[in-house]
Amino acid sequence: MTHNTTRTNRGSSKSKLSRRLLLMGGFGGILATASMHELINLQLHNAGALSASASIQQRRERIVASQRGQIMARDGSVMAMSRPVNTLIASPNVVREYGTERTISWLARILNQSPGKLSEALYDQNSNYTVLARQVEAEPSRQIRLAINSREFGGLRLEPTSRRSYPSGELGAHVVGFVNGEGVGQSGVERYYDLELTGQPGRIISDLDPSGKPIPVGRYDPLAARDGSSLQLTIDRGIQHIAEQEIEAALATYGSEGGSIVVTDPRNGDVLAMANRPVFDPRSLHNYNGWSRSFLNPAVSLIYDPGSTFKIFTMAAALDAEVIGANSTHNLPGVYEYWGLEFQNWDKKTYPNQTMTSVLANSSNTGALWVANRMGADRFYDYVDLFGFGRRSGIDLAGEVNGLVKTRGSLTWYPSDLAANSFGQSISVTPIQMVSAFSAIANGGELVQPRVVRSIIHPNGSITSTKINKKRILKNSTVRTIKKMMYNAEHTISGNKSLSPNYETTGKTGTAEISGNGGMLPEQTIASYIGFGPLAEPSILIMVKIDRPQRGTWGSQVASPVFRRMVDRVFRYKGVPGKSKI
Amino acid sequence: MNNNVAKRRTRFFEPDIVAWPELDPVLLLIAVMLPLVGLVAVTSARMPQGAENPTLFGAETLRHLCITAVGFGLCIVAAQIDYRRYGSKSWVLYAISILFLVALLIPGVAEGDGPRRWLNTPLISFQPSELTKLSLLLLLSYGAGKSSSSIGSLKTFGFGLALLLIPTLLIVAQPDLGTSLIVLTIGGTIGLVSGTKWRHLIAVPTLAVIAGLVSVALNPYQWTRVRSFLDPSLDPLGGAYQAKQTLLALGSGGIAGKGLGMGTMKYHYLPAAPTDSILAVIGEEGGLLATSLIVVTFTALLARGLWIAAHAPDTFGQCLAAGISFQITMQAFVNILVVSGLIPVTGIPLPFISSGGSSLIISLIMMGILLNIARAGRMSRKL
Repeated sequence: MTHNTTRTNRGSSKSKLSRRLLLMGGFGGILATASMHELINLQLHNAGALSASASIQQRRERIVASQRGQIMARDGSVMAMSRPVNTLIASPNVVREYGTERTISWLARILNQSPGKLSEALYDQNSNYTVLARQVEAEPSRQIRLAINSREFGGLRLEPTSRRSYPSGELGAHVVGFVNGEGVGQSGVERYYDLELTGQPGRIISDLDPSGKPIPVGRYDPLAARDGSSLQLTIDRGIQHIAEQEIEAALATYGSEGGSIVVTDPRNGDVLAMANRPVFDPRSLHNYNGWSRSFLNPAVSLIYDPGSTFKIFTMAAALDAEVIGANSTHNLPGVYEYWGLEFQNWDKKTYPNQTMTSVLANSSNTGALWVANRMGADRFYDYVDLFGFGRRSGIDLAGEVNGLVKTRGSLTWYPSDLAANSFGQSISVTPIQMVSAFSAIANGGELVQPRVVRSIIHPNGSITSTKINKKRILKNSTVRTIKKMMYNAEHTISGNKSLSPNYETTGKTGTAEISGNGGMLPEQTIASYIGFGPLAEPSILIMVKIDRPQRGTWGSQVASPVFRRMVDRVFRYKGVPGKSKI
Repeated sequence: MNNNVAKRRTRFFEPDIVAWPELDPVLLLIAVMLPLVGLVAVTSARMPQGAENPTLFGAETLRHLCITAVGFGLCIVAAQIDYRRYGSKSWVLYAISILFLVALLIPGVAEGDGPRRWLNTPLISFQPSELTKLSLLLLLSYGAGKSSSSIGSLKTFGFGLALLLIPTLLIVAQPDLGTSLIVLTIGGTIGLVSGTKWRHLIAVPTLAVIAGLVSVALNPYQWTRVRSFLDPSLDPLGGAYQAKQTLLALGSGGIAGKGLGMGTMKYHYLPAAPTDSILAVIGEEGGLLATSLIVVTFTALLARGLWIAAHAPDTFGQCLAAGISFQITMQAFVNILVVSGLIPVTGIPLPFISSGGSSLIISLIMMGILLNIARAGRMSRKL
């Protein structure tokens, strides 16, 4: 090769080289342009949408539970309180790295749980969220926290929450009620005052990584929780205790499976005690498998036919309407047909020229029928309504029902219902309605709305008292008359088991028949007694109701002795002056 | 030839302090800037690790710092060595890298259960495929220079193709389809620059397609990746989910970014944040400003590299300069286009920036060689 040819060769290959290098440069340029195009698209045109969906992916809102308020008895003793516990949350995909089997056997030991349940929760080892255990107490929580901090175990996290405890147990359980696993009130004041007790939960918005750990440079936006208010009940712990003992004893004595004792202050509607059977134990709710009939508060949620105790209202209404006077008499026979139905006295006896007081003393059905018939249906039902039957008393407890009152004009009403209603049959009421209506007799004619919460204590320390709602429904003179009649009637009855030798009280027995399929159930009754004292200025009203007693049938046999025992114990406890001291 | 010249030629390393100002300033700036950006970005991307295991985080950051320093040193050293001196010795390097690649396929040598990409020695672990890139660049460029007169012949082309094919197949066997395609690109570039006939050159992309098909046939997961790229609903939690995360990170950055260290996607949302997805971290924290600076820098690297190739004194230098700059920028653009969702996930790191010692050191050595070719070209023009 000569120098010359090399030159020309180099020249042509040089231009070929330039062409090929330019080709490569062009290809690179295309890729650079494509890259810039994509980046501008992503970071300029779609930045908003992409950044929003990245934000949604990372953002978690966690609720910070507010401390639920306490429920206290009248004397301030605690009946329901919340204490801090933790929910144990696991990321199974991280737990795997620390050894799933190892973690399960360790947790089973410190949580005292079966390993099977834990391994079920950790079954999906690719997931990053599962709840391992709820309501982990302080000591196991401390151990778990130690192990996480020392990196001995991982993929676990504790979220603070609270656990409701009921130190009083069955005592007043129906009034206090209970909360479910999520801390929401289910019955009693726990439900009725759920909003006040709960307060305002807070929340934390934060950015989390896929395993649920907070991102240090991410968002952290907390909003503090506002704690719930506490409640002071009208329930007097001492009286409640007496009522619980007496209802328990009465059930055992008379072979009954259910009943209620309600004690109120007729002057202001304060429920001092409300004891029912069957009752539940709020300390072991998990034993009830979600629902039990014993959760129902029979005093407000179950209806019954009141029977003879209702004659007081018939009589008071007729006196107030001035249809009869204290000295009126009637001559109806012991067995009487009214609008095609036969009504009879319990003893089927006829009492000629029977006075109104002896209508009460003998608990005469035909006597009550005579009174109601003289009033007429319209006026009778006006008074039934005034006494509050057929609608809720307004007591601050969850689950109160209306009762069933047929009035003239309703489709199922027959004229014969007036007769049955006059002595408390074919009308369904709740015990609290009876108590509320009876308070009007005790306090001089005012219907008082019963209440179980005296005051609401706010987290900042301020106190709101609950209102006392009163409405005059009877004239004062009417009440004076009916009280005197009741007193005389009660003292006419020989061997009256309701009268205490120590305290002056009056009231009325009731023996209600229980309606079943197609008629009344024989020998199945609800025995009750409602009374109040001391007579000078009644401050205590007691209702005793025993369902289906197996030993004894009549209110005078079954409920009266319980009422007397209640009077003796409660009046002594309250320091009410006895007869001998007057 | 006088005795003096012959004596000088026997010396392989020829330090020349006077030549410092003669180093190409554009190339030098790029070679310094990109690894420093990488050091900052990788340290930021490792913040989650820093929170969980501060000791490991400290050790790895220190390691990265040392490797960067060593890389800069090797770059300067390489810039002092006349590239023509590698010529005949490139066979040795080629043979060593083939040996390493074969060794990887022996059970128990490679690290872990997955693809066999890493070679462990008691002192260091490195990726032989990175060394393969350098050795192929040197050997094929040298060969092209030596046989420039017969470059059009099928025999010469066939010989070169055989040299190319051996490491390519060994890398496909790891399997590492992405790197094997980069290796083929190196061969294609040198073929193109050396003046190989077009009808011969067609064989290289054809081989690339065949390599791809074989690899996909042997490794069904690669096909799944392609399918999930084409239809993300097929695999919402797998590859498509990971690919989507890089887009979310880039989009979150917007124009100016969230600020250094303030990115949240690196907290286990991004797949391989310090390595393959490092651009997503840069994009989230530095915004479009930072990502476009990176694109511009790599484009400048290609332009400068091709300019150096055009002015290199011989075919060896032309092929080597074009091969180095094209190979590096192709990797960069493939990585950028993967991260921005235009092409399927391949597992190609971003040169100089992604965490990875072997890649960084080899890339900086290549930059040193490129600096040396630039200097040689300038000196030959001065003469």
